[in-house]
Amino acid sequence: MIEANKLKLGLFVSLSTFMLITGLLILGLSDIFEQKYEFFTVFDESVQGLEKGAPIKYKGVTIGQVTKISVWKARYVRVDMEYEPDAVFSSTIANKTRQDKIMAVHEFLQDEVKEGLRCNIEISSLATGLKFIELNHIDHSRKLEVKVDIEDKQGYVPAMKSLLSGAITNFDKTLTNIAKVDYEGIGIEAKMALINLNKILADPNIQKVLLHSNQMILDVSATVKKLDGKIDEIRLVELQKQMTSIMKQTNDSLDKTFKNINTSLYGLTSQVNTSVGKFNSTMDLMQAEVKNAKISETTAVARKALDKTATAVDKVELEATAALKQAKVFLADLHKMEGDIHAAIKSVEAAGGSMAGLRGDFTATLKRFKVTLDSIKSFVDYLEKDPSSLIRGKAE
Amino acid sequence: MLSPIVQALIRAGSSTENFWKRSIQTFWFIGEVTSALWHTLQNPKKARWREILYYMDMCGREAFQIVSLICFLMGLILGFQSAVQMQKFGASIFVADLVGLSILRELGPMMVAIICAGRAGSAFAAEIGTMKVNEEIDAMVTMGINPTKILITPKIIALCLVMPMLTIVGDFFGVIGGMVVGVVQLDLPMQVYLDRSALVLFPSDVIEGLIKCIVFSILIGGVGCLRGIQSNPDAQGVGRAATSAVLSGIFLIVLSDALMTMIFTVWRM
Repeated sequence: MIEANKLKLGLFVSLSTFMLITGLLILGLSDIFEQKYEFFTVFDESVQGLEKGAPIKYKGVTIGQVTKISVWKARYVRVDMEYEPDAVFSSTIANKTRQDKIMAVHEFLQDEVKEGLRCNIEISSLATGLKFIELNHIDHSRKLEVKVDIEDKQGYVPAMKSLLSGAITNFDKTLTNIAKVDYEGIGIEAKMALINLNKILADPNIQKVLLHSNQMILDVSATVKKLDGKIDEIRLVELQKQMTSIMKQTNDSLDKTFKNINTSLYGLTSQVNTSVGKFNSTMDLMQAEVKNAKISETTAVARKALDKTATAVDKVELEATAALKQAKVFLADLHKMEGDIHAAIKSVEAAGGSMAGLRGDFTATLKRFKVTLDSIKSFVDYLEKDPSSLIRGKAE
Repeated sequence: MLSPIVQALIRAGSSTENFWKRSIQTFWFIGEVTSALWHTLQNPKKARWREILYYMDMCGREAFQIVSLICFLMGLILGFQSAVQMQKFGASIFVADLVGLSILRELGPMMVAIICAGRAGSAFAAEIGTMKVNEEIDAMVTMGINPTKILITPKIIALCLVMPMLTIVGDFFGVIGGMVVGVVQLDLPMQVYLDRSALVLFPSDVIEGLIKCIVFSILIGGVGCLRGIQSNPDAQGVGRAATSAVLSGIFLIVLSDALMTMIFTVWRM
């Protein structure tokens, strides 16, 4: 006898039916009966990753979904969306009719759009690349709104350009600008510059300078090593003070010496001028005596002798004038040097405070200054002893 | 003694004749079943509800445990395998998507169909084959009773009614299996997993699975009964018919599932 176990079969059928209805309700079958408000937005960029059914979020709360994505006016993408009014303001419109709810949502949207409500595409997951639409208020000053001419603005919520696309656009522009740079020309110029630099470096004078610099550095290093071993901080400060006082004394003596040189040179010049004047007057006397003697025979000889003498005197006079000019130039140079030395002394005094860190370099510099000043001092002493050596040269 | 060439030609002719006869029989069977089902749909009161309920009980209620267990384990395995991979990318929550969509759209209906092919398809073939051995079907025909209406229609109707229920049960336990993996292995809160599943699964996914399983039920019932009718009138013939019913059923399930998946994919787009 074919007979079903009706109790168990009934339980099975009831259970599976219950599961089906519950499952469908959980998965959103109830949404079919929900009242929805349809609105749309328009993007001027790719909506790659945005799919039909993607969630619509208002400040992070899911309120609806994308219902349709289509190309609009050939260059825009229109995204149609819907959301349940109850999901946005369930408490305020709960008892209203469907028409009133839709009107309330419509007014709400219009007000919010004026306040800066915009649609924006956001990335839902980097792993899947899926996107959703976020409704959010933006700062008008950013000017990121998509500009589109919409005839019927019923249910239109303007879209905002995504930050990602903006960044990509800027990056693209940057790359374009970089691509415009004439790397080849820069390379050629750099190559030419290097060639010229090599030529300059190959110059024997530069090589000499480098060699001398190298030698100087070695000397300085050796000196510093010696000083490091022997001079401590206190001694260095004392030495600095001593050097400063020596330089001041040297400076004073230099001033005196220059004044003496000026005086001596002035006396020498006046003596030379006096001698030349006396010599001229003597020659005049001699010419007068010759005229008075009226010795025609000796006149030619005397004239010859006088011419020779005059030539010699002119020569002496020219040489004396040149020597004076040279002496003046030399004095001017010495004055210039005096200024440099003053500046150097001042800079040395100013740098004295920060000597601790630059002890080695400063010591070497002071030593070199000292050597220079010694040389100048000896030169000036020599001039003081024998100012006429400027004209005659150094005595053998 | 015939030459090998002549023997081969005779075998080929015999096979062709046999294929032709079976093809004719198959088309006749399809016509008969369609006619009977249409007649039953037009006259539901004349349907043999006693037999229908019996087969619903046999194919559905008795398969409840095995379907629940298999689908639960299927969801568990699927969730575990996907969790291992997705955890590497920090996409653990997407286990809910993968398990839910796979179970509802594909694996739930298919696993239920395979189980039903193994249980009901073979049972139908064996039952009708045995009746054929006992010449009960010939007796029915002699008495002017349409064996298709009496023997085949109740089975197919029962399967069509009960398999969607089994699929719902299988879907439920499959999603539960995935959730166990999500909660236990991935440390996802149960509410988060369920919310995610509710977010990504839609009623259309469930309906897609139910449509598939109705097609599967027609195929399983039909091929099981056909193999029973086509069985040789001996004990071995009944066994072969049962085996053939299962194999043909599974083959047709996979084939039709592939076709329907393509159709639904295009439809979704």
